[in-house]
Amino acid sequence: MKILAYINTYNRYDSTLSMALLSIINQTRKPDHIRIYDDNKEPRDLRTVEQYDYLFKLMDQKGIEWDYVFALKKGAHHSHEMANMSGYDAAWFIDDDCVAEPTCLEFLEKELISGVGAVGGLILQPPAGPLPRDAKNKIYDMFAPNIQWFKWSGNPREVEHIYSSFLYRCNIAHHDLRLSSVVFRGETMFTHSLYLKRYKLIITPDAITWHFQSVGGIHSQQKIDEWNHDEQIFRQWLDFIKLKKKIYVLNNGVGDHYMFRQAITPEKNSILAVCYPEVFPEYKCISIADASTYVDLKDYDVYAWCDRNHWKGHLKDAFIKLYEHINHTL
Amino acid sequence: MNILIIPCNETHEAKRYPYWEELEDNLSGHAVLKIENKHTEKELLEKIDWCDVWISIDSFFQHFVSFHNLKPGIVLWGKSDPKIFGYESNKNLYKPDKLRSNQFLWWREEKNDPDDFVSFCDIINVL
Repeated sequence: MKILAYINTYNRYDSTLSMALLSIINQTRKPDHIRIYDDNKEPRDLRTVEQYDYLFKLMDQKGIEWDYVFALKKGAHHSHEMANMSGYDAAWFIDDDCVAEPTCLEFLEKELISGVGAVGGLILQPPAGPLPRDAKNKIYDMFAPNIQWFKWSGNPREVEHIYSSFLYRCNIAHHDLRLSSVVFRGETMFTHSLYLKRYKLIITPDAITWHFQSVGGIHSQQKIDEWNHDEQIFRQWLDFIKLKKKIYVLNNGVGDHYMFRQAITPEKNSILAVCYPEVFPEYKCISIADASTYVDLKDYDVYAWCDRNHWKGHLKDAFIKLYEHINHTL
Repeated sequence: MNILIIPCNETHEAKRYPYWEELEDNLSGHAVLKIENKHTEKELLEKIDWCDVWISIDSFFQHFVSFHNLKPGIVLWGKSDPKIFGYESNKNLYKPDKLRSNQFLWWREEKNDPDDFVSFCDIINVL
């Protein structure tokens, strides 16, 4: 498995970034590539800063490929999405005020078995307390404490969302770029998108990251309006999922839309994600981009489905079979 | 006879019929209307209503007609298979030995080959 390790950084050149980076370099399971996404308004050339120059040399010495990306300055979610689409099997990121224990990636990878979409560890602030009974990381219980904040041991646990630092399979779910630059709830939405796509989410207590919560960071300069904006998007997104409606996705041509209409008559309260809403005037349609946060678009590609199944029949019947074979309830 | 022609030249080049000019040159005595720009659904319905027969390629048009349960027409096929993408109600003109071996792959690699299509004489014979 090829793993990209990355950090999104803002305003922490002189505090915790170098510690975070060193903790990645010192992993017992070396990442295949390390990338730094720099969101600073006035980025520096860190090759000219002594402590970073040492770190870059250390990566070279250890044979770890690395690069430095001057990011879009639109928020960490844009950098996350670039990492997500970089062609790696999996990506692991840690915040620029976190320090991972040397075995962190090794333990995360151990749990990233078939059917698992993301694995998180404990994100601890010393002194870390014991696990409260009501901490379970259920998506509809967001006000309960997060199990990643506490020190516990034993078997890894299945959850419905993960926050902060985690290892995830690339190019399955996508980051919601509607969020503001504070990216509040971004990790929760991203990991729960994997869960909606039938992947398990795991927290392993063996993978430990220390969170120092230093001044600065990508969230520090933002206004309360942006937090509220993101919370509103998150709540709408949750409400939408709660409806448990059937979803149909037509990421194809207008002719295919007309063909689909002859094959299937969705119930009136279904959700249709389409390219040509004018073909479905009596339905509430959403965009393909919006649908990609709830489902894996590849599952709904009728042409790919026909190819995989060596289909010989009519495309109209292929639409019917495709929707018989997939669970398309949100 | 009122003949409606929908060349759909904005579609992928491999699907484009290469002999429209020759066909039109041989339709004297018929009223021919060609749709080349984008039309609203209402305009399309009016034009289909006007014609006695329509002629198109493997495009959205045949699906549009079938969905609205309108009069059948003539569909000119190249590499795609009318048994998968077409309708029996239409007259599907194609060369079975020219179909793509895998009908479900992207079209971006496909080139237009005039030899994939029936000649304009075959269309006139059907008319």
